[in-house]
Amino acid sequence: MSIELKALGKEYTAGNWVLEDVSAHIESGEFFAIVGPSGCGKSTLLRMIAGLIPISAGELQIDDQVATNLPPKDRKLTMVFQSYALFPFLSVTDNVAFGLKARKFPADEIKKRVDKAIDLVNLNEFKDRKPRDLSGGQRQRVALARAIASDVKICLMDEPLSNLDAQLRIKMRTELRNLQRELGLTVIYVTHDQVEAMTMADHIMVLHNHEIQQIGTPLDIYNQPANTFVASFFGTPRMNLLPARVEADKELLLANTLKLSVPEPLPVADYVVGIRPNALRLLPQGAGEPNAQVKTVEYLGSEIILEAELADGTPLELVAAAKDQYNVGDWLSVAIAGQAYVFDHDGQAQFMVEGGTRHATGNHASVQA
Amino acid sequence: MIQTKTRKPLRYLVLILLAVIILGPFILGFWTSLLPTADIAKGALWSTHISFANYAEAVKQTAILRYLLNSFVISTLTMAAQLLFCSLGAYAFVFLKFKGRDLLFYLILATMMLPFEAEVIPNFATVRQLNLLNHYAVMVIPFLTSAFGIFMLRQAFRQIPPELKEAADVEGLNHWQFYWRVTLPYARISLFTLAAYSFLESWNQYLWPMLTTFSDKFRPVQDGLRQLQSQETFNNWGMIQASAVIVVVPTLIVLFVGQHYFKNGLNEGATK
Repeated sequence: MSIELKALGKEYTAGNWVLEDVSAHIESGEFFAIVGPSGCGKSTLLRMIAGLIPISAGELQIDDQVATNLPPKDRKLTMVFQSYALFPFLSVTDNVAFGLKARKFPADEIKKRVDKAIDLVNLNEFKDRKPRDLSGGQRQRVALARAIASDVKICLMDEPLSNLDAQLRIKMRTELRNLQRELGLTVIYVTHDQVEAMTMADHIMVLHNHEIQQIGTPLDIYNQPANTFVASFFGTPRMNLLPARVEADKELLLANTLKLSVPEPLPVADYVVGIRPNALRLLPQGAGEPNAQVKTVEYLGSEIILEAELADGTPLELVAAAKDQYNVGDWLSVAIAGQAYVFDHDGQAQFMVEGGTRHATGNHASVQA
Repeated sequence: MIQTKTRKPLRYLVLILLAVIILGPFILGFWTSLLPTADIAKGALWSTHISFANYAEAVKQTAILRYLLNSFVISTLTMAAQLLFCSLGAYAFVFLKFKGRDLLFYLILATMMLPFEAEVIPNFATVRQLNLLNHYAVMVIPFLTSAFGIFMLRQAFRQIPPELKEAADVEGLNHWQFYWRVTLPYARISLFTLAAYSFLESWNQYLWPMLTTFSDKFRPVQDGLRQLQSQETFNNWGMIQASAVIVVVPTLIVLFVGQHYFKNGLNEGATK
């Protein structure tokens, strides 16, 4: 059951496109995440695939059949909603059986499927309860069970975990992923949470500003972000994006402070250089000229997140070892010690520099990554 | 603390006063229904000649049971019709999209501003043309649906989370199935309320049946009661009171049964 999106578009009023030119191929049995900030159109895209919102442009294929204008029920898919969408007047069993009954399955088949689905989500004790007597996590499982009781192999999920508390969400992530593998479901999963997408998905589509920013595996997206949006959206703490200009032949000056050597001469223009906090190194006291001042200190237990400001006022996030002691107002000496991503002034990725490492003000403190 | 201590008795005082004012006539009516008419006429309300004789007399001498049956048939039919047609109308106004939908709804709302008395003459002309006079139909057909019912159920249906409709669409329910299997159960409290309301409304009709019924065969209770009073040359007040109590009992039953369903929270858990 593969799904093919061909240049899908949606306009609510003429000329006002909320989604444009969305193309993707989703393999059978794949966990495909659609990620983006709120309002980027990801739920709209999911509802277009489900058939709940008409498609304005492009073509949708499900299992090699054109499905652009098919009614939802003929698309052979199920959907799990952020708000669960349970029927409050039906018991857990009847909620799970709802779709099967609507599709007029034989009674013994319904019972078999419902029992299995309820068993899979561990709700056996709660079969006869009404949704109002269940906790949020249990309601979530009922919604899941309803989706997996169906015989169809495509499941669309619209932020199914976002109403759960943090602990439960992490637990459900794993359960959901295992269930998907076990049943061989093709899942299209909408979320605004990049961690959820990174941990669960086979492929991720990043949506922003009404269009696709990048499609790739979680690793691709993390290691080769296509633009500054993707770069800063993935990874915690966020990637630092520093304004850069060509300082010398094969050298960029970042935020008037850090120097980055590049493999080949660049045309003179404005650039943005992205460096993840873990690719920045804090030099020991006295080992370089101080170039950043600590603004806030967050203790996470295993490490410390420092928010600092470079000499010219550009904010910079850093990770430091938990054993070290930092105070607000301290001056630090920061050097590049890992991957640096060079983007043009429009934010499109140009190339990556591995461990470019020279300290702008103190050339005695050069570190090789 | 002092404030709440003094406030509580005060509150109860007001409540008791209101209860007496509202329940007083009922109690008085019930009490007199147990007294012989002679005592009532003398004004001897503290009489000890208490009996159910008036009730036996009412049932034996008057057509009160027939009136009850008539009213029951009329009210039940009206209630059933209003539940069906108001819910279908409200469904269309919430879940179907068609041109002029809102305009149509406002037109229906606007009819609520028209007092029933203003509709009596055209309605009467219509039912006479249709040859419906002095028949159950004349008291049911003009009340098959109500603007208030449509309005009330539309509000109730609008509370249904849109995700439920989407979930039903994905499962392939058509409009009839969604109406029957989701909308009605979800809005059952409003449906019970409307049922009780339309039953009582129909039960308590007076003006319209008075104009359109001429025989005990079809006369409903409220007009029947009035009939008792004018028929008797000597007004048998004890019996009339007993009849009035008999007539009120079904409405009380409807209210008590209805109250059981009028509770909140039944729809919790549909969505977070």
